[in-house]
Order: sequence, then structure tokens, then C-alpha cells
Amino acid sequence: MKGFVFDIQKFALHDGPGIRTTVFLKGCELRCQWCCNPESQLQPPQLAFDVKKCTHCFECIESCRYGALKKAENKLSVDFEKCTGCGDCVSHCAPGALKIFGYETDAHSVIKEVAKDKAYFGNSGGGITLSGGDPVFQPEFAFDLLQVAKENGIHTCIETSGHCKPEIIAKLATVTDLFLFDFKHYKNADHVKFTGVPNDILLANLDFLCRNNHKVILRCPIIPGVNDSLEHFKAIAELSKKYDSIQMVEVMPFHDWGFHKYELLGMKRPDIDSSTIPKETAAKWRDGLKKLGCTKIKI
Amino acid sequence: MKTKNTTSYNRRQFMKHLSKGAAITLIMPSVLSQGLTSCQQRAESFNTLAMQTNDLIKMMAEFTQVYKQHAASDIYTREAACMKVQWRGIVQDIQPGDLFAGRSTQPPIGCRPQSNEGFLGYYIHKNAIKKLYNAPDISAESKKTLDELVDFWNTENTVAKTKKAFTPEMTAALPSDDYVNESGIAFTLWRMSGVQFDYGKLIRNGIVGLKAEIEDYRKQVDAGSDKHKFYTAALSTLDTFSEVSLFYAEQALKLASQAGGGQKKELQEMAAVLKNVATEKPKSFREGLQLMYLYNALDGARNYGRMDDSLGDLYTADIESGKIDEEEAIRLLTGIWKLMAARNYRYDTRLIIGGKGRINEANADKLALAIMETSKRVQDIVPQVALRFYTGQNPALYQKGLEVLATGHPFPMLYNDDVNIPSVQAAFDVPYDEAIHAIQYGCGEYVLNHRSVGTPSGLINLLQALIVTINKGIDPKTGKHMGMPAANYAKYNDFKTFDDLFAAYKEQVEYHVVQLAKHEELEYVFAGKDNAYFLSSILMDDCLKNGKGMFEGGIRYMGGTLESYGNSNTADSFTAIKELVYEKKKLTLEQVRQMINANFEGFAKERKMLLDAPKYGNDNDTADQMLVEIHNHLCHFTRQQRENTGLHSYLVVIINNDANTVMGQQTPASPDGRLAYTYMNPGNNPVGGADKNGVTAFLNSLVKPSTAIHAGAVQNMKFSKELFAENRPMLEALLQTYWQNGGAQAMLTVVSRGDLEDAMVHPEKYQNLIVRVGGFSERFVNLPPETHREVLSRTLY
Ligand code: SF4
Ligand code: SF4
Repeated sequence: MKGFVFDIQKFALHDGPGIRTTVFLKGCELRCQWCCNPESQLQPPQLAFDVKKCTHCFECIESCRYGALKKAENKLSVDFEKCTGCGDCVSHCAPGALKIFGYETDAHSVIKEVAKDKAYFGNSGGGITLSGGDPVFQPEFAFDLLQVAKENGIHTCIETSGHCKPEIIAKLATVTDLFLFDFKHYKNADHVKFTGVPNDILLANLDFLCRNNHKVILRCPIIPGVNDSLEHFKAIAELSKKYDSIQMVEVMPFHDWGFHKYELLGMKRPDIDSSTIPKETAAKWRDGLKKLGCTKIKI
Repeated sequence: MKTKNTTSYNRRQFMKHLSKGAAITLIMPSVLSQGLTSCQQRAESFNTLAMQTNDLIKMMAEFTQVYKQHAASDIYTREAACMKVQWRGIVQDIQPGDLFAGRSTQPPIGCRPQSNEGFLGYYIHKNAIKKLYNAPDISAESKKTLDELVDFWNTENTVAKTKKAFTPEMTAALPSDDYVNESGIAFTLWRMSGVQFDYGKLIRNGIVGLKAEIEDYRKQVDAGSDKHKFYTAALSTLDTFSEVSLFYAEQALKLASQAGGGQKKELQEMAAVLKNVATEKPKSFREGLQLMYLYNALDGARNYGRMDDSLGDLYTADIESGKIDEEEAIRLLTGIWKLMAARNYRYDTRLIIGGKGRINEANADKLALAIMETSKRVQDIVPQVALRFYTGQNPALYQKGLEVLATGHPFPMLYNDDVNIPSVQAAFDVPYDEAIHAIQYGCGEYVLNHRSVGTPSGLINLLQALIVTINKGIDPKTGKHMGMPAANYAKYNDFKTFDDLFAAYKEQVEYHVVQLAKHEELEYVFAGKDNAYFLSSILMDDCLKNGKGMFEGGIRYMGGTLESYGNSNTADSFTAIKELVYEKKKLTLEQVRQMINANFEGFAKERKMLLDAPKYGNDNDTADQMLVEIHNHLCHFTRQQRENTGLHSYLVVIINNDANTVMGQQTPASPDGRLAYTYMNPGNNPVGGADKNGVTAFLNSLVKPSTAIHAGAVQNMKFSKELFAENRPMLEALLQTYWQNGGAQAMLTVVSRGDLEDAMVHPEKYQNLIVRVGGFSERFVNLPPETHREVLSRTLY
């Protein structure tokens, strides 16, 4: 089974327990307004153009069969509408201003790469984490990856919005040791507003996982003006109390470290206040959650 | 002004200190008392041992006179006699605040196993001589004397004599020793470095015990025999040591007489210590430290062996009896650290703690902890503390090591016995009982502690070998012929296949290695012909038993090493060529040749193709396998050279001082995409910045080249402060896995990248930022910009 991956990151320390290798799958149904991985949203490979690296030598223009590269006012201009992401131009650019995000691969090649770090996983209680995008966007590929990982004796984690058909979650659960389950907004209407999809499906999936004793870490991105409300924190606390299966709650303060990528990809930068959240604010959120009865907060 | 007061040097007292009943021919320096008088004359602060220009020249003239007088005698008697003169040019004054005596320098003409300016044996330091000529206080008479001395020693020094004995083949392959200013594939090095003494023996026996042992040997040989002369001269050299110790005792007492309060007591104590260790067994930790340091300084050795082992018993006894507490011990160690820093041998000054093969491990462990605590507090670039560890060792040592590293201090370097011992067994071809004594010196070369010598006498630049091979014998930098004869290329079919090119490169390397090995042997022969190096040989197995100096065949294992550079750049170059020229056929070798000779000018796109080819350091099998092949070829071929020479072993070391940078500055652009005259990779590390696949991939690559076929390879790892501070269990799991996977060694630097970048802009704020430059450590701000870039280029994890 083949699928699209855009990165494999080793020695990941923040995507589940121990030393992990995180495999980033391309494609996601949600469009969270604070998304930090814009290159992960679409499934097919995508061109990124870094104008800062471009010397406007125009060496690349000829190489594009689709007429996506043009000279305009003595500068290189990229027509992302025309670009198919074929990647032909990349090797023609010496300064490295052109780059492709994403490539097609198969589960065995990916796990072969991941398994090189098995000894590190063993000594640290780590393993593989599928992230994205959203792994449930390529459900068969994700299942294959996790199954092959399990066959290789590797601990498996999946980071997901949980927004998918229940049978997908049920199938993935058979090969997943731990879910890193996102919880973005308690209110359905606002969930739709900020992410483009409702929250009822994912909450049902969360309920399914927890009732069947699958281990879950609840990951809660907190974005000022979006979900830093008392009601949302209350909802987080309630979920953590309701389900024994939830091992831990992670408060993930918003950051904009990936926002420069929108421009590279020819996408619109999110319209959101992108000032970095001070440590104290994050600590206050965690404190507040604790006061609301949530006892499983990750520091 | 000082009066000739207090305790002037008392020769009778000195004689009384000498071991009883020994019939020793003492060649007492007649000028000893003169030396003192002149001290007192010029004394502003009451006496100074540091010689002024004319005195120094006089001393060197006398040294030369003694040397000439012994033209007809044996080398042993000559050396012992020369030592009796030379020490006055070595010793330096005790400074205010010193806890130990033994500050030292090197006279511009003298004799020792390893000296400045790349010399060994009888030496003449040309730059130091130049300085003497320019000294404002030099007299006309001294100038004349100096002319004569220079004239004599220019041909009589040990290196000059060795060079004269070069064969034509050796001269052809090794035309230069100036790797700093000239391009070349291979260079000779001159020194006998890496001598690691049996300090334990020195401390357990004291001078008195050593002398008794030598006398026992002497009794067994015929009077008048060479061996008899050897032993007699050895005893005489130990007397010189005693003399120096007593001389310092004297100075300490004089200083004490002028000092007040705590200082006075301190100096009196120093004098008592020196007086005792001059001849007797050290009775305390402090005496042990003094004996070790002074002996080392007088010899000119630059490493301190397994200090926790040699001094652990005295340390523990003093602590347990309540004579000193740990704080006092750290204060004393700090005193020694201060003297080491003043000597400033940043490429050496190794001090090894931990590991198998120590006599009293429990005691040694205690001292090892105090040693690390001292380094943590002092934060200087020397000593280079190395911690050996094995499964089952007291974990407190390893933990303490990490604690010190977390502060950003680059020591201890970590050495994994579980991997190193079997590797040394195989590479050195010695049994387990000997391999457990493998320790490092200098930049990370292994020797068998006081059982072997293994000085690197040459270096090879593999990348230059490849570049010259691609150019069929022409060095693009000079346009002149370099390396193996031009005719040798004929059989390689214009490099039609990758195998042709690879075979030619191998021949190029082999052409040089054969001569480098022979050169090593030749250097030993001449080093041995001139000297026994008594202070060294007395503490090296089995010189006393054999009645020979270490380089005359006295040492148990006469080993040699060859420093290799540019290994990773060379491997990456081959990987790129193989893929782009021979497999995908996107470039021709001729194009590659033109590109590198043009330093990629006009070839930006092609250079990117080369840069994009797989690189060592990413756990990529293609690239890593190429490195392994380069490594295996070099290491195996070098190791075979013991069959062509009288060496017990001849092994590659993949160490790093700053030669990767210095030689890189002479090396043209290379097919891995590296630009001309820029640094090459350090040690066994990937090319700076080429490792992009995460730290686990980096570590997995590092363990691929075999550790069982060479005498040491260093790996630098830079970790962020955050990782050390916030994710310590993960860091430990990471290292643990690396060790289990076959990691032999690691040099960790803990920094934040911001620190380094900011330090380039605001050096004044980062005076204490120490980084590892492969084989030594240095304050970041003291490094030249080129090295800054090299350090910055290494990936920070
Ligand atoms: S990726 Fe393909 S379509 Fe897009 S600009 Fe490059 S060559 Fe043209
Ligand atoms: S080749 Fe690269 S640098 Fe040149 S115009 Fe195209 S994108 Fe810009």
C-alpha cells in the first residue's frame, strides 16, 4: 500500500513517550485556522518557493512543462495554480529556492527507516508516531504502517483529530498502542467555524476508544481568542474525569513557528493573532485546569 | 636587597638525601652554586629561576660542551650529564599562590622526547632562537656563542640526523613536514608524544624505591657493560630529579621567610613536601601530587596517565584518617590544574579516570569523583579529563561525568570499555590483560598504559589523495606533480569504471602509507640512537628489565600510529561520483575534475547535484557503506605495515586536533561539493552540517566503521543545554543506546547555538565558552574565524 509522507523526524521527544520517530502523513480534512503545518493539508506533493533564496537567474523556467514558472518584472514568479508539484524544476535551482513537500512511498520502506532506531525505542520506552496532516486522511496507508510497525515489535502512536468514520478508528485501534487525540473546541458551531468540521463525530470516536479501554492522551491546543475560555477548559476537565482511558491531558499553547510556510506554498497566511504565548500564561491555563478537577495534566 | 641568608643550597644535605650506600657517579653541575648566586644577584623579588638571555645562552653552551665532551662515550652517560645542566633551563619560579612547584619551560636547545616546534631528542627550536637573537639584553659575546650553537645543532639535532637517513622513496612520498603552509598528501611529524608513564609505580615506590630496583638490576650485569652504564646513568638522572626537588624546597623556604600568615605556612608545607619527595616515598596525597607533577615537568611529558589509580590510595588514606577533607583535596587538585593550565598543552594534558584494570578501584573511584568536581569548578581547557566506564562500574562516576558536562564544560570525554577493550585486543593484537590498560593521550590515540608507545609520526590527507588521483598526479593548487609516479595511472583505463578510479585512489594511499610506516620506524631508530630518555624509560615497561631506553627496544610494545584526515569528505566524494558519474551518468568524471579545479565557479547547478548526493552521517546505507570501505582499506593496509617494519603495531588514528581545518585550507575543492581551501570533517564525524537526519541517525552512522582495526577515533557531539536540562532521561537513553550499538567514545559539548553565534559577534561576553575542536578544547573566542565556522557547521542536537 502506497501513501504520501512529507517528513520522517527522528529523536522526537514530544509526540508520545520515550524517543520516537514521527512520520508525517500528508493530507487533512480539517482547516484549523492556527495550522502550523500548511504543507500537510493537501495530500499530493506541493511546490514551495523561497523567494529569499531566489537569485532570479531564471535557470528553472525552461524545466517546467506546465508554464508555472515565469519571468515577471525581472523576478521569478510562480503560478501555484498551474503548478502540478511534479518537482522537475527543483534540480535546476542551484540556490535551493525550489523544494517539494511530500513524496509517495510504501509502508515497508517507511518502517524500514523507522526500525533503524528500534534500540533507542527499547531503551527509552519510545516507538513510532504517525502525525500529519491527519493520519486518518489516508486510513489504509496509516493502518499498513502501524501494522508493519507492530510486526516489527515497535510501540505505535497516532496523533489524530479523530474526525473520520467510526470503522476507521475501530480498525486503527487494533494496531495502535496510544492515541494522541486532539480536542479543539467544545462547541460544535465554533468547531465548525475554526476547523471547518463539526466535533460530534470525533467526540463519538473518542467515546468509542475510551469505552474500549484504548489508551489516550488528550491534546488540547489553546489559541487565544479561539478556545481559551472557561467553558472549554471545563469541557477538557470533564472529559479527563469521564474517561479513565485518558492517561494525560496536554495543554499545547499556540505558536506560529510554521506560519512562514504559507507564503512559500503560495497560500494565504492565517488571519489570527500570532503573538507567542508567554510561559506564565500557559502555566496559568494548566493551573486553571487543575482547579477544575483535571488531575492528569502534563507539565 | 636580599642577603645571602637562610638556607643556601647545601650540597652535603643533598648528598644525605640520596639513597644510602649507592655507589653513584654523580656528575654534579659545577655551576649549580653559580646559578644560585646569580639568582640572588638579580633578585628583586628574592630569587628567580627563570633565566635571563645571557645566562640561558651560557647554560646552553655548557649543555653543548657536555654533549661534545661525551663524543666518545656512550649515549647513556652523555644524556645523564646533559640532564644535569639542562634542568636549570627548565625550572621556573614558584609563583604567589602556588601550592606545588614544577612550573617549567623548554630551553631553545636541549633534549627531551617531545619538544616544541615539532622536535624530538636533541633539538634546536629555531623560532625560540630567533627570539633570543632579538632579545634586548643579549650581549655581543652571547650572540657569538649562539652563532656557534646554532651552527652545531643545525646538523647535530636528532631530526636532522633522521632526515639524512631518508631513502629516495621516502623523500619522494614524504617531501614535506610543513602541513600548515604546503599542500600535500602525506606529511611527517617529529615528536615522541603520547608517552603515558607508570605514575602508580613512581608514587608507590618513590625515588628511593625506583633506585633500589635499578640497583638490583645493575648488580646482575657486568661492570663496564652497556647495561651497567644504562643503569648507572638512570640512577644519576634520578639524582638530578632529587636535586631539582631540593632546589625547589629551598626556594619555597626562602619565599616562606618573606611571606606572612597563611602563605608562610603554605610555603613551608610545600618545602617539606618537596624535601621528602626528593628521595623518599610520598606519604600523603599532597606529596603524591607533587612528585607526579614535578617528575612529569622535568621529563617534558605531557600526559598524566590514570591519575585516579596512581593517587587513589593516598587520597583515600588521607581522607579516611581525617588528614584532609574533600574540600582540601579539591583545593590541592586545583593547584595542580593551575600549573597544567600555565603549561598550556591543550593538545595533550590527558588525564584518565575510571575503567577496568585499576589496582584499587574503590579508592580510585573516590578520587575520580573529586577530579571531576575540580574540573567542574575550575572550567579550564586543561586537563583533558577522560572517563572510562564499563557495565558494572560504580554508576556514580558516569553520572558525575554527565553532571559536569551539563554545565557546558567539555570534560570528561567518555570512553566505553565494553567496546574499547575487545577492539584494542584485536587492533593491537594483545591479550585481554593488556588491552584493559589502553588509555588515550593527546588527541585521542590509544596506547597501552606504560606498556607501549604509539606516537603519530605522520599524517595523511585522504581527500587530497583523491583530488590528485582524479587529476592523474597533478595538485590543482600548484599545478605540479604530487604523489605516486605519473606512469602508475596508465593501468587504470582513464577511470572508465568506478572500480578503476577507486583502485587508483587506493594505490595512491598505499604509496604513501608504506613510506609513512617506514618513516615511523626510522624515527624510532634515531630517537633510540641518541637517547635513553631516562625519566620516561624508568617508568615504562620493560625498559629497566631490558636495560634499554624505550626507543632502543626497551619498551614492551613499540607501536606507531598514522593520523588520517578528510575521511568523511573523501567518502562523500566517492558516493557522489559513483552515483552521478557512474550510475546515473548525469556528469562525466572530466566535468567533475573541471568543476573542482575551478572551485565550482560557473558550476553552481552541478555543485548542488554533488551536495544533494547521499552523505555520511544520516544512517544512509549507501553513503555510510562508502565510508566503511574507505575506512577499512586505510585501516587494514596501515595495520599490515607492521609486517614491513619492526613495529609491534602500526595503526590509523582518526583523531582531530585542528589539522582538519589547517590541512583543509591547503586542499582544493572536492567532489562532495566542498569549496576549495575550507575545513574538512573532524575525526570520525560527518562533514559539518551534512548530518540532517536527526541525532539517532547520526549516532547510527558513527558506529558503522569498525573500531577493531585502528588506535582511536574521535566523535564530537554537540547537544543543546535544553536537552541536557529538560530531557535528561531521554539523553541518557540516547547515549546508552549509542554505547550498546558499539559507540566507543564521545566528546560532548553542551551549548546553545545562540551562544555560539552570539560569541562570534560579542566575544567579550563569552570568555568562558569552551568548545571541543576535535582533539583539544579551546575557548571559543580564541579560535580563528575559519574554525568558528567549522564548529558552527556541526549539527547541534
Ligand atoms: S513543480 Fe513541476 S509544475 Fe510545479 S513549477 Fe516545478 S516543474 Fe513546474
Ligand atoms: S532557478 Fe532558483 S534561483 Fe533561479 S530563478 Fe529559479 S527559483 Fe530563482
